[in-house]
Amino acid sequence: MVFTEFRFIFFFLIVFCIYWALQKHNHRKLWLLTCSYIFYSAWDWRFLFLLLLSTVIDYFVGLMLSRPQVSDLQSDRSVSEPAISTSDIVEKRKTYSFWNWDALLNKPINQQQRQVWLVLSLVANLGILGFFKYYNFFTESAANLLAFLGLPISLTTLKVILPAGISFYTFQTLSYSLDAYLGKLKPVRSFWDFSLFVTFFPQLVAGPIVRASTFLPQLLTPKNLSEVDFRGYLMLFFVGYFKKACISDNLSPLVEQYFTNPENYTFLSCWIAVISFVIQIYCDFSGYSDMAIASAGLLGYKLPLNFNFPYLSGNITDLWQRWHITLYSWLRDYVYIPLMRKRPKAERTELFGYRNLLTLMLLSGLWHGAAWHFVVWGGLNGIALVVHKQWSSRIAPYKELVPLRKMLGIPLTLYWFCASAIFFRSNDLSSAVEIEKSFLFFNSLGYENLNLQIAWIFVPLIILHWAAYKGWFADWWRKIPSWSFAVCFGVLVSAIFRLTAINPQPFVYFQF
Amino acid sequence: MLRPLVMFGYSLIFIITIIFSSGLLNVILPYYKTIQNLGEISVKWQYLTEHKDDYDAIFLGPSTTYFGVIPKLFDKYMTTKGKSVKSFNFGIAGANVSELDFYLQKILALEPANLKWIFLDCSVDLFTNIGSTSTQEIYWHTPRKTLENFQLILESSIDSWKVKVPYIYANFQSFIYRWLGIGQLSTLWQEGILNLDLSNSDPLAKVSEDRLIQESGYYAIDWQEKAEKWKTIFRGNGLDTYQKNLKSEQTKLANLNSKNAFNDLSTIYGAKMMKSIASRIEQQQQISKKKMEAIFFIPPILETDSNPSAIYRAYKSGYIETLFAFNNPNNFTNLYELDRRIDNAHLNHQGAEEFTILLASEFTQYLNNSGEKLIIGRL
Repeated sequence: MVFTEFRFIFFFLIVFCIYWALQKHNHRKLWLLTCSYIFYSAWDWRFLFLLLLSTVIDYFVGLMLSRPQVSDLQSDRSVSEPAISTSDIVEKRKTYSFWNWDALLNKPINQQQRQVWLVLSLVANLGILGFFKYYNFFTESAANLLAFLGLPISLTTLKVILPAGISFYTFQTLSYSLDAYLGKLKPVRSFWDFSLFVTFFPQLVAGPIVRASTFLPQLLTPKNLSEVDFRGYLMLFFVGYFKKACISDNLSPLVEQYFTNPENYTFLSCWIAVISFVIQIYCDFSGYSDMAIASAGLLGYKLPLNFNFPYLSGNITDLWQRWHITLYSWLRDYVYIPLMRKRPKAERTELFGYRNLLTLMLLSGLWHGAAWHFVVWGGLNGIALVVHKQWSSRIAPYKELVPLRKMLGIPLTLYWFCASAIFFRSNDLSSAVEIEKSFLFFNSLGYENLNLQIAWIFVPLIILHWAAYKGWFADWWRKIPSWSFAVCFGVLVSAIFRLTAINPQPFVYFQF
Repeated sequence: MLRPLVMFGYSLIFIITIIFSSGLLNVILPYYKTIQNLGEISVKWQYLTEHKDDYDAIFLGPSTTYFGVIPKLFDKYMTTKGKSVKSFNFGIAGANVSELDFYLQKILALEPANLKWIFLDCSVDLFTNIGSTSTQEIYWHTPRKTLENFQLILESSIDSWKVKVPYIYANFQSFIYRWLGIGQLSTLWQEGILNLDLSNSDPLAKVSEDRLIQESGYYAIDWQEKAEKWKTIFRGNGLDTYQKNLKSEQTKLANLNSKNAFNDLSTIYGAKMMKSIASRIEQQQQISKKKMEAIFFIPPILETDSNPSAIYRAYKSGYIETLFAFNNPNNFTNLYELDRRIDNAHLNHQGAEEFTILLASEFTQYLNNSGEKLIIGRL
C-alpha cells in the first residue's frame, strides 16, 4: 500500500477517524500500532515476523542497557552513603533472578556486559539486513573475485525477497540501541511504545529515518486534535502527492525508455533522460517524505525534515546536508563521528578525515542498493566531497571570488550530481560507464532521439521549485477562511488528479 | 480550534467541491467522450463506426470471442450455404457481461442500417477487482453504468458479501477514476509527447492493427508473441490440471440428466444483465422496425465451476431465448483436443477455425429452422 494509492485514502480515513474518536492516549497508540502492522502486511505479511523480531531484540537490548551501571551505583552511593564493596554487589546480584522482571531491570550491569548487549543488537540487526539485502551481492562478488584470481568457486545464491523498508527500520532500531548504549537516551519500559516507534506506518517503509530520541518523547504526551496544523499538513500532503504522482510518475516512463536501451540514443537524449531522472528521484523521494510527514502530522506526530531544496545547494557538501537528511545525519552520528574519534583530536590529519568521509559515502552507496554501481555512486560523491573540502580551504582567502562561486555553485553542483546519478540509475556498471561517456563527452551511443521538446517541461518545473524555495506559495492558504480553504483545496485536488500518472510507479526508495 | 463537527462540515464542502469541479472539468475537457487509448478496442470501434452499415452480424464477447471467432470464415461458410452474411468480431479481452452491455448500447446508438444478428458471448459473468484502474475499465464506468453494477451486485443472490464487497470496491474505484479524470492529462503527455504506447502494458500481447482490420476484428492468439509463453505454461504445469478438469467435466456431464442437472437456479446479477441486454435489442428492433436478434452463445471453454453459469440461469429463467452452447467436451471432443487450444478458455487458430465453422453450421441450421430455439452443449 503506497500513499498515492486509492486504498490508502480509505485506510488513512479509517485510521484518522477512529484514532481521534478514541479518548485515551494509550488506546490511540494501540490503534496506531495495529494499523501499522496492517499497513506493513499489505506488502507481505510474512515479513511481519521479521519486523517483530527486530522490535523484540532491540526492546530487550534497550532494557538491558537501561540497567544501573556498576560504576553508577558506586558513584551514587558515594554521595550519600559509604562506598559499597565489590563483594556487596556480588552478594546483591545473588538475590536477583532472571525471571523476576523488575529485579532483573535493577540488577547492576558492568561496561563489558553492556558491550555484549550492544554487540548482540548490532549483530542481530545487521545480520538480518545483511542476509536479506546483501547475501547474494557479497556471494556473487566473492565468487567473481576468486574467479578473477584464477580460483573459480561455485557459491550458492539464494532467492531472497527484500522485505519492504528493512534498511529504514533497521537503522531506526540501531539508533535506539546505540543511543541507549551511549547514554543519550533512556530506554522505554513500554513494549507497545517501542513497537510503535519501530512500526509507525507513515515512516515505516521509506523513512524519514526517525531517531528514538525524536519519536519516543512524543509518545509520552497525549495528542490534542486542536493542536494539529490541518491546513499545513494537508497542503504538505498535496505537495508530496503532486511531486510523486504528477511529476515523478510521469517522467518515469521516459527515464525507463532511455535507461533500458541507452545504446540506441544520442547524447541529447542522454542529457534529457539524466535530467529527468534527477527530477524524478527527487520528486519521488521528497514527495514520499512530504506525505509521510503530513500523515504523521495529521495524527499529531512530528517527523523530521528529510529534504531541504537540495538542488539549490551552492556546493556538494551543502547538497548532501540537504538530501535525505535523516540518513546522512544518521551516518554522520553513528559512523563518521565514531570513526573520527578513533584518533585524538591532535592526531586527526586531513587525510584521516577524508578517508572517513569516503567510507561514509561508500557505505551510503551500499545502503542504497546491493550492487557495485551504487557503491561507485557513493564513492564518486565521497570524492566530490573531499575535493570540495580541499578546494574550499584553498580558495577561502580569495574573497573576490565569492560572487563567481555563488554564480557557478548551483549549476556545477547539479552537473556533478547528474553525472554521478547515472551510476545510481543504471542497471549495471558497464552500461553506467557508457552512459557516463555519452553524458560527459557528448558522445552519441546511437541515432535515435527521445522527443527533444520534452526539455521544455524542465522550465516550469524549475520555476515551480524556485518559487517554492522563495516561499511564494507559503502562506496564502493560511490567511483565507476555513470554508474557502476547503473549496480551494477541493479545486486544487481535482486539478492534480488530472495530472496524476495513469500508470503509478512504486516508490523508488522502497527497494532500499 | 476545530471541533469534529466543524471539521466534518469542512470535509463535506471539500468533497462537494471536488465532485462539482471534477464534473465541470469533465464538461470542459470531455476526455471519455470518445473511445481512445483503448488499444484494439479503439481500432475496432473506429473501423466499425466508419463501416457501420456494412455488417449484418456482430460478435460481441470477451477474449473467447475475440480469439475464437473468425468473421471471414464465418461469412464464407454462410455463403456456401446460400446465406449472405457479413460479420464483424467486436471481441474485447477481459470484457464481462456488464461491459459488453455498455458497448452494445454504443453499437445500437450508431443505428447500423443492416445489423440483424448480435452474437453475444457472455461467458465472463463476474466482475474482477483486477485492473479496475486500467483505461479499459475506467472508460465504461459511467455513473449510470456504475449504479447499475452496484444494483446487480447487491441483487445477486448467491454471491456472499465476501465476494460482493471487492466487486463494489472495484466498480467504485473505476468510477471514481473516471469522474475525477485521473490520468487524463498524464495520458496525453505520455502518448502525445513521450510517444509511449499505454494501451497495452504487455508488449508480448501486441497486435497488428492492420491485420486486425483485415480479419474483421479477429486476431488469433497464435499471432501474438505471448502465445509461445502461454503454450509453454499450458503444456508444462497446466497440462495435468487441464486433463484432470477435462476428465472430471466429461464424467460429470455424462452422468447428468435433466432432473439432476443444476438445481440451484437462483438469479445472479449476470443473468439479469443478460435479460436487460436481450430486452435492449428487442426495444431497438421495435424502434427501428427492422429485424434484429440477440443470439447468445457459449464458446468451448472448459468449465470447472460446479454452479451453473449466469448464462445458463438466464436461459432457464426465460430471460434469453436463443442459446448455442459449445461448452460440452463430450459433444465437441475435437475442440477440447490439446492441439486446438492455448489454455482452458482459449482456442488457438486451428481451434478457432473449427469452432467458427461449427458456429456457422449451427447458425445455418437455426436459420433454416426459421428461428426455432436451438440449444446444444452443457445444459
